[in-house]
Amino acid sequence: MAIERIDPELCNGCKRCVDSCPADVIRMDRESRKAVVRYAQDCVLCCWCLAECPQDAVVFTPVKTSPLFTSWG
Amino acid sequence: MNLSTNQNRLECDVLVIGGGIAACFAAIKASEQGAKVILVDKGFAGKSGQSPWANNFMAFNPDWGHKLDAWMEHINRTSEYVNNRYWTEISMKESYARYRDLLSWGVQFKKGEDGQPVRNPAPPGVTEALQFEEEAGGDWVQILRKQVLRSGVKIIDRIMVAELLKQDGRIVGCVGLPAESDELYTFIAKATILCVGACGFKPAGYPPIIQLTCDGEAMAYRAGAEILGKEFVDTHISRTDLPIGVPMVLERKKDVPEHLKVLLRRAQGKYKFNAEGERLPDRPAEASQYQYTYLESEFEAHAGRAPIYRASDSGNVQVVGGACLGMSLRKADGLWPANTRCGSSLPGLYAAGDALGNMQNGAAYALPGGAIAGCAVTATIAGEAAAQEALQMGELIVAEEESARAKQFVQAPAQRQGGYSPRWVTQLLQNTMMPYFISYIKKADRLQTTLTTVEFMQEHLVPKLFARDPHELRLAHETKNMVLSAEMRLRSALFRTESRGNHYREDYPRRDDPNWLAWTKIKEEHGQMKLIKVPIPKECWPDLSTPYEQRYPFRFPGE
Repeated sequence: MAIERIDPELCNGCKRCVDSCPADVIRMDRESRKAVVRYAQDCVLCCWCLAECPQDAVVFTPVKTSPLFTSWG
Repeated sequence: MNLSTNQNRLECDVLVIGGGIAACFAAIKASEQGAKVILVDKGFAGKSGQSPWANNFMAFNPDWGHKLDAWMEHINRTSEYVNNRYWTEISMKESYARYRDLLSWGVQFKKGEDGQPVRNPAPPGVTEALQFEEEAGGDWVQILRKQVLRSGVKIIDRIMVAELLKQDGRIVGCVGLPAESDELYTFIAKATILCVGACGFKPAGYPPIIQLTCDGEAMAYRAGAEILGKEFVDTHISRTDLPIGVPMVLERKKDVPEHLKVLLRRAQGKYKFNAEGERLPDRPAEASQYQYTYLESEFEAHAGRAPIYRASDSGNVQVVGGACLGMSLRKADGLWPANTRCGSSLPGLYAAGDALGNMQNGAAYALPGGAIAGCAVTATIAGEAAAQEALQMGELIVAEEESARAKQFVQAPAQRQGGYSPRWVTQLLQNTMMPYFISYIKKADRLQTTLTTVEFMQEHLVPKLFARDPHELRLAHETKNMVLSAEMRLRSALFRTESRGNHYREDYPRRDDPNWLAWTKIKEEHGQMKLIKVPIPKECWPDLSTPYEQRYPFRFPGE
């Protein structure tokens, strides 16, 4: 799934990952004010979040899976 | 989901839509004319689209010994004579001034030991490009963003513009959809510049175009603008397992963690070979040598000689085409330029960068750094022209009915309880268009069959797309725009009954100069998509008295 989560212990809430994500995958959690992965299925493995994060808080696997293709959906 | 009408209404002289180099240049240049400018971007301006991934910037400079005639002759030939020479030439001539702009704003280029910029010859050594400073790691577009702000432009990030406003035949603004809010935005503008980049179908193999979902040309088409035909396809390849381009971003900035080093195996390398171990043929020296030009891998696949591998320093990598699915050759996407000021066929609407289909590179790209330089050049022209037009206009009052119509159009998928999800329709579109024998090795019967499927998607699935939150509403509009673009691509491919550059028709494998030294454009007429052939001026034709094989050194299968 590529991006898995953002470590809340490391995240400093700078929002750079949110701004750099071209697929709108990451959001700021309103309560904790930390970045959270909201739409992981839309990650395209571009690695911008990894490159931008000053805290190395992004947990990322080098694997991208696609959903099974179904008759409707 | 409640998308209420609201107070988010902004007015300006010039509205720039997009967030890459073209958008930044257009906004700065319009602002320098004295116009009140707003830049609105789907992502975060300065990190959007393909610009942060760019390596090179073409800068033509006679003081460096560059010869215009030689550069033009090279492009005319490699483009297979369907480049628009006006735009090719102006992109070259004005590229050095745009390079100076970048320098003056603080963008760094790689320098040699003598302190001068390193000039990299592009194969086969006719043209040159300058390299962005590697350590900047794509951040040069962030420097442009800072200049945009210094110019007094208001930047609004993370709003997808989803529909244009039209009044009395003129584009007067648009409606935008914020990433995280139910409240739509209305922008009222005396002039609007589309700088939304190229177009693609969200292919997994090429992250730089994941945001570029044909939004500009789809909005413009719906409003009645003419669009450039989309038959000349981009032919990037990727690794079969992972996208290309990944290491560029990460490597530039950080030490790559051990568990992600698998990402670093590049699909770029010395040469390609097929399943039988045969090296794919070298191109003739006179043809474009640019890596992603021509359909060599697709021809091998069609002959049953896949898989294709690329030899590289880190071992052989299996590669596959379609990495850029939905994207045209550079500058062969986008709005038809109706004049030399980057105006579209609709008053009040301009386009620049890859959103302007000016055919700078014709049917086969051969100008590394030329795409991004061309963006800066056209955006400068568009920014100045749009500002001048806007500043001459009186007060602009847009009727509430038009704004309400556009908002209703944008909200519609959020008001449906069910139907078809944007992700599923996008996946269906990708599966429909991806096979090599549809989008790359083309033939009338297969194109027609696929067109029937896409027409069904247009008629039955798109009107019933549904969204449960603002993110999915964005996906719904992206999906709708991509399906429309797929129809344009298929119809254009059917229309051009010849082969040329990156457009190959198995049933018409030769160039047909008497009939097809022409461009195609697309327009909506009485609810139908109409294709129009626009002849290229005869003074731009090759000498038809020279033998065909000499005019075109690259042979297509079946010729």
